Amino acid sequence: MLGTREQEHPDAPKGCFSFPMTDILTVLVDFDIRPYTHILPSLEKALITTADLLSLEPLDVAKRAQVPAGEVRKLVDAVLDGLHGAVGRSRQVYGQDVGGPVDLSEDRPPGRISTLDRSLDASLNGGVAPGYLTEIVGESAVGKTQSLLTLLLSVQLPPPYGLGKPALYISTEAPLQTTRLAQILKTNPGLTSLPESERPSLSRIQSTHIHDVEAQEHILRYQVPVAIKKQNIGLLVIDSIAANYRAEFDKSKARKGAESFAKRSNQLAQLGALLRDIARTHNVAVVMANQVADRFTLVEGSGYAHNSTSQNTTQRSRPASPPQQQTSRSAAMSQPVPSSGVPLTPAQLLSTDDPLALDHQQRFFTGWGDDPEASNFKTPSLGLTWTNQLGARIALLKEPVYEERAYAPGEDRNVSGWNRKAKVVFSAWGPEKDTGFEIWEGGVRGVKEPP
Amino acid sequence: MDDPSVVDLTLSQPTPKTSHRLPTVSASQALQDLTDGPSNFIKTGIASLDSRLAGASITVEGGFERGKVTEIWGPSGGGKTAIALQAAIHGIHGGSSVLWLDAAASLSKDRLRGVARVKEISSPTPSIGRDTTNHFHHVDVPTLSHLLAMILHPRADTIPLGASLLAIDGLNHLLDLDYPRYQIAAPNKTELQKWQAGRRYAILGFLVSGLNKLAVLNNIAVVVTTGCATRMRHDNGLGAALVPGLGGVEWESGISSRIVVFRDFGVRLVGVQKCQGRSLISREEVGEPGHLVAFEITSEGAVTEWMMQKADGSPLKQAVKARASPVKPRKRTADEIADSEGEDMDEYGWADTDDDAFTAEGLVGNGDASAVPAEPG
Repeated sequence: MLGTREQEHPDAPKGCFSFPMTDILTVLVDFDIRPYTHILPSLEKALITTADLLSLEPLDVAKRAQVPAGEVRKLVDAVLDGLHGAVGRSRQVYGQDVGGPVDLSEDRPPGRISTLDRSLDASLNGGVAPGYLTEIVGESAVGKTQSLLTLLLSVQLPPPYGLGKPALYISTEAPLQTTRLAQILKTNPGLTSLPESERPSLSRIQSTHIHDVEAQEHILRYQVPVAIKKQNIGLLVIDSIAANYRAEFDKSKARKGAESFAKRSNQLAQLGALLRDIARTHNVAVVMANQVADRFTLVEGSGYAHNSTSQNTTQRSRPASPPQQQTSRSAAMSQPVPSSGVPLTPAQLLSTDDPLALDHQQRFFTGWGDDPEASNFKTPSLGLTWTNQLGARIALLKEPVYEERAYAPGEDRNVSGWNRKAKVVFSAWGPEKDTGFEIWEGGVRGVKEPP
Repeated sequence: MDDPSVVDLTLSQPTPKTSHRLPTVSASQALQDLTDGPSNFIKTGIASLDSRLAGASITVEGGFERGKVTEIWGPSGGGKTAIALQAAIHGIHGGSSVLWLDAAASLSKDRLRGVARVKEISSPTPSIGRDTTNHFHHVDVPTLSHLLAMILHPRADTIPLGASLLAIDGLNHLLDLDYPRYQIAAPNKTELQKWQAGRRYAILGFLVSGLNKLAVLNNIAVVVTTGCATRMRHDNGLGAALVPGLGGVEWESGISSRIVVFRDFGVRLVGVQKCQGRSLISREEVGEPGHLVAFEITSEGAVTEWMMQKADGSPLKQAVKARASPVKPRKRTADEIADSEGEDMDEYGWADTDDDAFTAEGLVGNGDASAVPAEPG
């Protein structure tokens, strides 16, 4: 279990992170610190962390903290014993069964939470897997909450469709939609076909509300793990993960931009680690809804504002650059494409001469932008730092369907419906896939994508 | 040690309390390993990548080199874990053991099993698990301290007998938690605080030294995946680029090879940026992927080279040109941070567009509230 790593050391300048030696109890929960209470305060004062203890010479640590080297050595040995013990217990060895026969049906891998729809489950390689952080991201009214509600019910089903466990729903905005849950229960054939005793129930869904980031930190770090253990929770839903951070980050906007960025970034990394710890320790599926913003291409304020709305142009995010830069990039990358237009080298498969630009790469890890024909992209909130915390991202996209009739010149087209698509952008337990879907009385279900 | 810029590379191992085996390699074995070309490398499954990692531009036996450290970095979903996993399975099928350490997402057993069963990478006479020498060892590493215990203070049974590969998936996560990459600049830091601010890079130095030592002593290939971060490129007027999740002179000089794994329209690519101890790109070229190799991931999760042309020479794929998003000129530039490596940072503008997003999302009321949602008018 990870402890509170954001404690500010009294001597440290504001905003500096330091992790005093007492973090040893969070690194090793059962560590007996009693034999070392005479040196721990000095180690703390010298800003020595557990990692420092393991990487520096005991003599150097002793000099820095002004404590006897022999005592430091004893502490290091004890810490190492504890760490190696923990690692040894966590070690799993796969021998014969790696590559050997699979005893369960190929159809449904064990340990997944179904979406209660066959084609949606297929796109998820069986459903949502426990032990990971899964994000469901999309615009409002696209179906995020609908998907979450379905999972709250299906996790209760016995394997292979669920985990046979209850769920915990944490809301940060609207409360749990119990009416909608009841409707799904009454109308989804996968659920109604079950005998009464096996059907999921609302009583096995715990829900709570979190108002702000401080409460969120405390609840997630201390209360949720206790609840999970006590009630054998199989699914933790957070709807939504970004909401509480908006107020928090707004406050810090007053400070220098980069400083607040650093703080946000570190905060999100700590949150990610905390949630991953919960997921892994208790084998829980942590599923979170996230919001989106409209995407714009950012261009340096060099005065060159490349108008990217012109179509059929090579996406060049590079304005004219100094000659030597150009040459060095050209040498490595652009080789003349033969007149037949057939690319002969991998470099010629690139769609841009700046493939690692953030703007370009986010087409492939956000869920929006990897369709060369589409426009109007969205970007998930909380940035790259948050993306890096996830085990899986499922993007829900929607496109308007316009009524086909004669329109007067200048008249706005009438939206008659929406095409929705669920896209697995990346997943630790399966390949990328996408599938059309719709929301209906009984939850969500896959549909064939229109041509 | 008072000077944080001096990294003590002569790590002395404490006398192991429970040692009954001192990990050594006999000189004759070491010589044999050197001359036995193929066994010096663990294949990745992408032939051109293997050759390039061996330092060749023509097809040669190659892959992740034993006795050395290779870094794989790139954004989520690119294929880093897939490539490392495939190499691990090649090692297993070759009759050796593998130690896989997970720092963030734990490797799914189904995934491991799925890749191990793929015919193309199975050895003709599978010998997995028949004896005790070619097993897949998996450990979830919760904190940096746990990792340092294993790497800097290994015990006799830390590295499995007969191992060919040590993989660490997501190493940057462990570093970032204890020693955040982005530090707040503060004037008037004390000596102690300045020392602390340099600890990230010092630890990285110890870590890469420790990894190299393990690699050589056990004759294993060490493969580390490290995610990504961003860096602004003010010099040439380009926007932010993705950069490796771990940086700094100590780390970068300790790794023998570095590859970046990323996607483009309809294609997956690996860029070789450093191999055989030599950089293929200069440090200033942020965003330069290096020498490119195309690959693909099969539905079972196996990795293979992506063939540029069919046998008859006809193209399998055309390059794609795509529409870009509308342009929004930046309202402000981010400030410099004194204590980092002169790195500026920026997110992709969500701070600026945040307000728009939240109004558009209708957060004031319910997001997706209605039982059967009413479509926006």
